[in-house]
Amino acid sequence: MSSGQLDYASLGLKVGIELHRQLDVGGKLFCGCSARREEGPGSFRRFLVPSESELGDVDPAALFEAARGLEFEYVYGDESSCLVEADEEPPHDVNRRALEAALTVALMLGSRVVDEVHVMRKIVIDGSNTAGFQRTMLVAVGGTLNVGGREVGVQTITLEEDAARNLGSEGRVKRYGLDRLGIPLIEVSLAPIEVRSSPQEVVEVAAALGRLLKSTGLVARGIGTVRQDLNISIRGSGIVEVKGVQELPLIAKIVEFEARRLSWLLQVAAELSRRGVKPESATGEILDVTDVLSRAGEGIVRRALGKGARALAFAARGYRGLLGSEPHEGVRVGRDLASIANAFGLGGVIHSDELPGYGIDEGLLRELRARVGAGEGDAVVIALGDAEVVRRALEAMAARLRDIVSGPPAETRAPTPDGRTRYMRPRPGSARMYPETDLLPIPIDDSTLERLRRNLPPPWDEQVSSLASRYGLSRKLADELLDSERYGLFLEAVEMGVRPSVAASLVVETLVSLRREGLDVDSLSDEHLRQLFRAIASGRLAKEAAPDVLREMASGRARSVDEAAGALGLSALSDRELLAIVDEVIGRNSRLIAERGERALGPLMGEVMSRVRGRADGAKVNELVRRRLEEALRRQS
Amino acid sequence: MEDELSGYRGPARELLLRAGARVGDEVELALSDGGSISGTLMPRYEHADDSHVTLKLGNGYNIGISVSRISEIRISRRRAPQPSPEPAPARAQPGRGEVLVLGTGGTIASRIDYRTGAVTPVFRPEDLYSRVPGLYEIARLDTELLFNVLSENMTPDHWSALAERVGRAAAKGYRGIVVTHGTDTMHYTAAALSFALEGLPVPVILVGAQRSSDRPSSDAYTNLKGAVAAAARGDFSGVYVAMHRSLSDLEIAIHRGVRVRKNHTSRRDAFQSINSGPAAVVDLRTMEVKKLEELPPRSDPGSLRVKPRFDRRAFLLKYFPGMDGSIVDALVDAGYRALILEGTGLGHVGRQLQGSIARAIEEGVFVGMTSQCIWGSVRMTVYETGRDLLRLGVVPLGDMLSEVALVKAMWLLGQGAGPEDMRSLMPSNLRGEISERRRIVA
Ligand SMILES: [Zn+2]
Repeated sequence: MSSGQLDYASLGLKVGIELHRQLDVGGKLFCGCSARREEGPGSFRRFLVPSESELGDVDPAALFEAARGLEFEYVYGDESSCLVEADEEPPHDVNRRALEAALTVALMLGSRVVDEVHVMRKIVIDGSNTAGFQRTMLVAVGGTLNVGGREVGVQTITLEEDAARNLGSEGRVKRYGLDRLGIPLIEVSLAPIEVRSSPQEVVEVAAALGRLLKSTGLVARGIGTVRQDLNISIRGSGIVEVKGVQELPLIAKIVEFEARRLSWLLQVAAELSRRGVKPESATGEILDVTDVLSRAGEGIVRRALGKGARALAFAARGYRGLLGSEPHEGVRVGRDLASIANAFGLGGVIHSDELPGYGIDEGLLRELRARVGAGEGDAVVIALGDAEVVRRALEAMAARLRDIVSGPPAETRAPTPDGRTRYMRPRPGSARMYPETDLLPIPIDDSTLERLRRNLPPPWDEQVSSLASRYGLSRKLADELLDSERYGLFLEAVEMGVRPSVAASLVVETLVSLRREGLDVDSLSDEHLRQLFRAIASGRLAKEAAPDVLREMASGRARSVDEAAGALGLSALSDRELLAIVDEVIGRNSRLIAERGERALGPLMGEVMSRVRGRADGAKVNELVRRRLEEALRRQS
Repeated sequence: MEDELSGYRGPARELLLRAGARVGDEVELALSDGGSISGTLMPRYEHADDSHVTLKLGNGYNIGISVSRISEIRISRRRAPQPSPEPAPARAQPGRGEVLVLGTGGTIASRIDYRTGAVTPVFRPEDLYSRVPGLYEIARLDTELLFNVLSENMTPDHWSALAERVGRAAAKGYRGIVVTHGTDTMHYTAAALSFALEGLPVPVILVGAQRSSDRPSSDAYTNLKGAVAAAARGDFSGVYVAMHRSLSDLEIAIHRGVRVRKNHTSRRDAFQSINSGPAAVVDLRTMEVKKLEELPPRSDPGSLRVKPRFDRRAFLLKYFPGMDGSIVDALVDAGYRALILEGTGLGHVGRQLQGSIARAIEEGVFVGMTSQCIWGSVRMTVYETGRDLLRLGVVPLGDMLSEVALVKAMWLLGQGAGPEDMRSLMPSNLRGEISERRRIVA
């Protein structure tokens, strides 16, 4: 397979989108806590004891982690968490505003609202919910989203609690912040669309749904308030769920990557079948090969065994050459085996396609092959570490290699920042849900629906027009602004006294062009931008300097606007300093002024601006130069 | 009663009966405004209304559909025959386990059927071992479901039955006994067992859960492990309550049965030792049982004397501003023999009650004073009101908890104590329920 264009239509590529977005309706879904981000200071520790049937056919790595007794540390602040988040108090009645926001979206999409909403508990065992389950409720089914003439079906609309914020882990302790737990999330699941010519079609559908949600004025905006799950398949593959894609532009890359990966796995499966490999016998017995590998030369294998690690290995029938092949960057069977190893806490995995290497020479490889019964066409998979952990990890890898024989397996994958995906766990079994017995069902009466229907938000285009005319913006700018994650900041900037056109183009165009330069725009916090707007509003900084200042901060060189301005030598000129420069330029150019009269303004402006750019506002410079030029002309005449 | 339409009432029930549908059937509901919806018919919550039908959709969600919107019910598939219900928990096989776990109600462990949403309690040792990781490593268990009542429905008769059963088990040579109990009245039962079991040779540990066992975060499992560890390994005897020490799943506090009180409606660390610290603590990482107080050691079973009778004619009366004496008169007229007052502050009630209290004492009713402050001791010599009450014959009960004083009065009456015995025994420390010292640091 080449890295050239993919023919999506003939691949039978289908992508379903599940969009999750936080609601900004005041408070959380089942208590009155603030949805504001808040750190510490308190913390407590918990275990989860899921009943074994809850683990059943879930992911062996998660099962393994649970059996090891993972410990969770929950960090909480006083405003954003109460006993409900701590799972120390029953949930309060559902936040009516959140429920009505979900109903509003349902009405806008023409979905059928259920007569009575039942809150369910969906089992989640990774600690991201203190209770061990997420509360979720189905609000409506069916409906249609119109995307430029294409009708995309709506499957379900649900309202649920956001999970706690992952703060990383240390050894067996995973840390979470409770500030995000319980923030209301709306989830809209769309029916899969058939991709006709470009993954961009998927981006457009996601963007259209995003605009519809934003038009309600009830959703939160900003980093971390939205994420998309993508259900991707091609003809002959299982459905791959890519979880938690945060940015729209990444969607196209991920869809393309998955299309390439799945079609490669189809080829792998075809090749395995040609080689006569059967799923059930595709992997051999897992054996301890420490004695063989203890004779390895200098390298990681020898070092690991020297520290007491054991080496275990199995044969993968017919896989020779197929583990290491990389027909497209990042598309490699061996890469997913490494992800499994990591999930079990191992540093990685070694397979025979990369050997000789790591101190294992041809002779040792032959011995290894003989030990695990690997024939000429077979590969060998090796892992090092604690014997029990390695055995379980290799079992999971063997299971995956057996699955691949029958075609690209259904599985859950995580997006990477560069638009690829990483293996997370095997196919998600059906959701384990049971009723939330602490709450009664919630009837939805017709009068509520009638009231919401009468008060539906105006259509997107209408909102764009009114924004454009209210602030004197072009339609295009107004449209992008209304769609922006930082729309709220625009409103704040205008409030501070920044000219609307300046604020809008900073929020929309400047940030986009910085992102195109490859800068990490998401690292710019709302507070950074607020500082910038304050500096512009007070005249401390010229608007022309804004891109440089943002670049300085996004690249991590400066931590604040003042620091960036200082580093760039951009402290704004005082009126006196500016006037001195203007007078000096005008004085030096008396001949030019005499020759060209008023038309000297352009060249004079150019010269002054080249000296004060970023330190003085262009409009102000223009006004000064014009005034001094007129005075000079009057003097000359 | 087996009900094929569990929880359904009124119009919803009639509709389902007409269609011949049963809970668990796969049905298709034709809707009057067009279209249809399919799913599995689910039971209805008892407290939900009678005008909706609950369906579980293919995606696992339950929804309710208004009866008025359903034009027809088609049954697409009958519920699969139910597996026969699990046999009742096997009776303990005496002499085999080290720790006997006695069930009194509530659910200490459960499994969930995600198909139906049904929560099934588990109680047999093998089920407990598989449900509670690490439990098997602590001790071999025998289990016995003694009765199945909600904690708020417990009565002194249940205390008596429980005391007799625990007494027999203690005499049989168990290392310790664990009693699973709903939390609401667990501290009353703990006090009752403390009095009824004199000279206990082994630890008897009551345990419950504040957060339901159908959630992975339940405290039931860690509490149970702590209780079993204390019963099997604690080098002390007596009656205790084992519950979380804090919001973290790190330590289980072992409280003395006569010192403990439920002080929060929902937190897992709701139980606290009053006027003292916990007696011991179990470290959930190491399962080590550490004593924090001087406690009676394990002893010979021969010293045990079971005195299981309680007389219900004792009453706990909480005083509030303006309460008049008629309630006291009514209690005396109703035949009550002991009245525990929960007075204000150091042990006071309004002057308007003095006449009725004097009359009660004259008629041989024991009147004892505790404080509604919960922490601290009554001291009735400080203010004139207290001195007046003392003069009338009200007996100050030190720092005994009011609930414990009530149970103690029932027990003493049950042992045949007359007015004079009551006056001398109620303020005497029999099981650690009254202490002379209250530390500066609690
Ligand atoms: Zn809260």
